[in-house]
Amino acid sequence: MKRMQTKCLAMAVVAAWLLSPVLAAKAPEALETVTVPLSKASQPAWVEAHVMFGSITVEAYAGREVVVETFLRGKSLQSKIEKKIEEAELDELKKEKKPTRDISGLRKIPIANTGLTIEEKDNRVSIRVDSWKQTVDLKIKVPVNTSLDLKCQSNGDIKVTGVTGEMDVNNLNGPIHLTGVTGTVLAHTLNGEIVATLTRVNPDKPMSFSTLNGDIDVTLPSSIRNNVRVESRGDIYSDFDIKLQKEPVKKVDNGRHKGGTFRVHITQGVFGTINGGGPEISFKNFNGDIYIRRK
Amino acid sequence: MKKWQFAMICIGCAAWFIGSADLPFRAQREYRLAFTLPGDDLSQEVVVDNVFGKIDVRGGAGHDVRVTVHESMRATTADALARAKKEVTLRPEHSAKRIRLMVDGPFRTPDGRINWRRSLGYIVRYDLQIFVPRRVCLRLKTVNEGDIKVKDIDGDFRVSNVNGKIDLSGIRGSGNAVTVNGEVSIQFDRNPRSACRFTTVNGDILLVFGPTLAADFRLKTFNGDMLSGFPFELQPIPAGTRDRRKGRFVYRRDGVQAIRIGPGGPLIQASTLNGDITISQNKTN
Repeated sequence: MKRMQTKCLAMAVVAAWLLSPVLAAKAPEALETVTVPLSKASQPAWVEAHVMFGSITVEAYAGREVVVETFLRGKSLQSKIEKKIEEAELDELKKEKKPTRDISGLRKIPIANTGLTIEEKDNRVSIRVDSWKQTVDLKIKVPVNTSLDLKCQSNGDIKVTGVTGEMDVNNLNGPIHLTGVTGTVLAHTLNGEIVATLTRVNPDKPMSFSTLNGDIDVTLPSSIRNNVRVESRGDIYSDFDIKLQKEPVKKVDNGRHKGGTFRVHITQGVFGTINGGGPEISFKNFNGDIYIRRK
Repeated sequence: MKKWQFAMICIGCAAWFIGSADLPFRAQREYRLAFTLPGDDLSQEVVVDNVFGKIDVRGGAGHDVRVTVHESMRATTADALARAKKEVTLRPEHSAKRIRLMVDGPFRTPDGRINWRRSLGYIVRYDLQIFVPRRVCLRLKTVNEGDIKVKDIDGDFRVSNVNGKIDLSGIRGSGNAVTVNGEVSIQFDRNPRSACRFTTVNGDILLVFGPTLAADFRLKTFNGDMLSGFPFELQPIPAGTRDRRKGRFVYRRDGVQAIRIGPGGPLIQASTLNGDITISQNKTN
């Protein structure tokens, strides 16, 4: 028994030693922090943020302003300054841009600027960064009652925590994580998983979660009343009591009276109802599994 | 895009449109002008306000100003050519400390600005080769069909082009050089002692300084690299502008990168949209 305890203690010490650099690492410092006052602080806000290369993290907080922080990803600026242009890069620069110009011995001046632009009118906040040349991570603190329109292209994920409102979240090459959100969610990505935990949902509005390559893992309140539509080539798991529809859904378009065609489309996927049904929640992926969990 | 950039692009486009039309009737001549600037201090000024054509200024010893004017006219008809000869002139003005050469014509507004509201049916181009005492200040302007080239000048400069390069070398003063479509290349014989601004939209900016450079830079390129031959340190980014007008709050940071070379000194601003900015060291100094 004593030997076992010693072994555990030794493992804990080794683990602590291995993790120490991670734990000791300082959180990255924001390049800039901008506080945006809302025109109507007592009313819900609407925040739109688009990033080409980078991530977006949105957190709800108790304040009444929107706080935007930007972070440049990659090596520290100082290391970029100290580094002379490498031979390969120099050759490329010479070949492509300046065949006649002597650029040997030059250093590249790093661009430590995100080109952040923020506009606010009537509680609608629009956030843009020049993230097409460098990876810029956005961290946004919003009042709890805020609707979101978030778009990312590459090199980053979208994370939302604790927000109440309508959320339209689109990523292209990265995951979407929504934690403890309330309201309505439209979440779409192409390459990445979607993990969402909803505390409450808007009972009158449909929702959608879709990805091409990745799992969808959504946790919903047990009291929801919705229709569900699930399309996947992978497996579908749920602990909800979903009443499945036996007949496939047929959609008929009769265009004959306009000289067109008569078209019957049998929709793929699984249809069902939870707690008697209501607005539709759609789950759709191609490569991956779908988990619909009850909270 | 700032208003002046937009206005200059409009002027350039209009002039290009006129220039691209078929202009078969032609005439040209060459003549010389001579002036004297008797002083020896940097308060003397040579001003050239051209519209079509290049400006080539070279500084040297003495007090003489010698101008070689190559005038070439292109017109749609013989009648338009006759009008061009009558309407467009190179007007020299000479005072004790200032020489001004201004291309005047119906495209000028009463306050001396250029306004291309109607097609004139002709283009008059002046290629100017000017020899000046090197201790003068320069104000040079052209719009189309010509580069501006300056060599060996001690005084300050204000140079503006629209569709063409700006190439200044052997410079010992400070000033501004602005173009829209073209490279800006400045080679200082003595490092600038006061603020400078170099701007283009489509083109590289190449700045060559002496080895003892001490200056603060604000650099901006949208689509290009920024390179330095001097060791530098990054400065805090200039704060973005905050504004609330008619209920709209706007925060904007305009993508400027600030660096310091040496212990810092005069502010040198360089900005391009599509092009590189290179700060290099004059190896012959």
